Amino acid sequence: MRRGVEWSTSVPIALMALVVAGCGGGDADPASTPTGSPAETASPTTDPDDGPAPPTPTESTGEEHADVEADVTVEDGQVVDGVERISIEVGETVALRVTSDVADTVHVHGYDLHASVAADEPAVVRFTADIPGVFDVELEQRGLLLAELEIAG
Amino acid sequence: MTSWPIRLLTVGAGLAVVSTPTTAWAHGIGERGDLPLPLGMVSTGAGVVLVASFAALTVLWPRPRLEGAVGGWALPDAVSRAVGWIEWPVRAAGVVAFAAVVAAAFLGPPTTSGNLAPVAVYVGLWVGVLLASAVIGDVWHTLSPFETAAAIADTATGAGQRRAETLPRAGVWPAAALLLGFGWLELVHPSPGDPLVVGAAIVGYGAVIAIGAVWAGRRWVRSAEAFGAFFRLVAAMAPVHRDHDGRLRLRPPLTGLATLPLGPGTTAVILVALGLTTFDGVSRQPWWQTLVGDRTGWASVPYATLGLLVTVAVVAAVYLWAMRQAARISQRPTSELATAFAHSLVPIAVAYAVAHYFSLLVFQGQQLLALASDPIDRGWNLLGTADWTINYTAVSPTTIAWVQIAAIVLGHLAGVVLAHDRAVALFPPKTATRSHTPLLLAMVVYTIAGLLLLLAGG
Repeated sequence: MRRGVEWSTSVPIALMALVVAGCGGGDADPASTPTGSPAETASPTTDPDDGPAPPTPTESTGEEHADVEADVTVEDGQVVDGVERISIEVGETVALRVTSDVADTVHVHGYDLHASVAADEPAVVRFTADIPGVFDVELEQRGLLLAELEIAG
Repeated sequence: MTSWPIRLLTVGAGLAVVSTPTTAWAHGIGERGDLPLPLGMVSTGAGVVLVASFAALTVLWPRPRLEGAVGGWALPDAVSRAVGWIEWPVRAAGVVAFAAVVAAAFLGPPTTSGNLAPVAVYVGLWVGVLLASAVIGDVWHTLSPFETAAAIADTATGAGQRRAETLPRAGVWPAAALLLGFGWLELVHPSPGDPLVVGAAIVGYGAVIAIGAVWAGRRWVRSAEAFGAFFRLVAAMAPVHRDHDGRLRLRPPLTGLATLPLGPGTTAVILVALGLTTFDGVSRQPWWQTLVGDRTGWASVPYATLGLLVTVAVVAAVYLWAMRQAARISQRPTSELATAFAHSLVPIAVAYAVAHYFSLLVFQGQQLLALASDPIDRGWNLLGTADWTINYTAVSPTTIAWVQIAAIVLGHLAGVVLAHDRAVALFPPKTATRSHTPLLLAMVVYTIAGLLLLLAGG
């Protein structure tokens, strides 16, 4: 059996592990760093903190087609058809439409976007997915998870 | 050896891969989750772990070496003195930080992302101080307001510099229980990020420690202060430590674990810490969501509590199974072996923490610095960082993935080395290898499970 001194425990084993891991894990690496800091390209809607705000749907005619469009419907305190994990590539534009039977605020974590939604006023959140990661979208006051955005690339 | 661990792994892996993600556990803190690790990386990591573990059985040294290395080298007197000078300023800073966090909890903004308290506790303390302890040494001993209060009380009552080396008969079992309580708060409570909840928890925890200290003396702080008990164990991994004369010494990393003072409850603290971080991963799995259904808020608490307890129990059961096998082979009591090998799990627990919380530290850590400039929302800018926004591109997902895999693999290898060294110290050469092979298998189970948990993202 080989003998060694104590430093030979941490260092060679660490090197061995890293070398072998480096040779093998080359496929399907997550995206490289997107440049720049998070851009403020979201179109946030009404400020939710001032109580019942006048409903302002953010849809307008003549809007551009977003790369990823998703719809979430909330009924009776639950998300219809379950909570989805939406796959998005970094850099794509996203349009997330939320329809709810109760008034609340839609909050996209990480991007920190807010949109008011009410029973007759669906909310649409538009933004460019420039931050990679997994982000929750929730109905803020109820703490109800609406969707997960998996932004990779 | 039975093959049920293998069967368990296969079932778990199957479930993890087959079920589609439905909901995520909405954690109170953290705006962003990690991307799922690529399967290629995970497989490679698992392969390295398996190969290295079983190669270690034949390659590693036949006589114990780590305990002899703990002495290390003394650092120059000037360095020891310099560190001695900054001890009390750092203690004061710890008390100020504690006061700022409590003030922020009750007087600051009521939102999770705008308040210093949740970030300070779940990121600054639970992740930041943990990693600092592993890399630098027992920093919590100086930063902890509880230790500072105890030190002042000792000086005031004339107890002098006597370090509370002896613990009550319960050892650190109270700390293990409180650590589990912290885990419950972080992972089960419906709104762990609510500043008032955090504030109430801090006040409650502080009261338990303070009242116990008044009643039972400073030994209570050592016995019951959960973070201190755990971080002391983690700090044994670090290269810098203080010897009995108070001099600073440098030693190879990990060797400090070989001479870790072990007492009643030490094993429990380590197993609870490992169980907590495991449950953190479990609660993000799709199959967990299927189990819990659509329950949110307080309706989910009974299930999540059960999940936490079961996870800790399973983690403990794997270890105790390994110790039971070792006991049969080596004809020694299981409890004696369970205490003797507990130190080898510390690197694995730290590795789990790094894997699950590294990105939290990198991103929410920025938020911690920003919020510290204005704890009670008065428009201050104490550190000049009040205008910071979190830069989510500071570290790429690729880097995060590598850190996660490397941490788990290295933690595993460190555990294997420590277990081997203890085995050759305890057992006669004939049975040393056979006796700790069950523990090796248990570590493989922990590590593969940790890798599988990361397949669904952290």
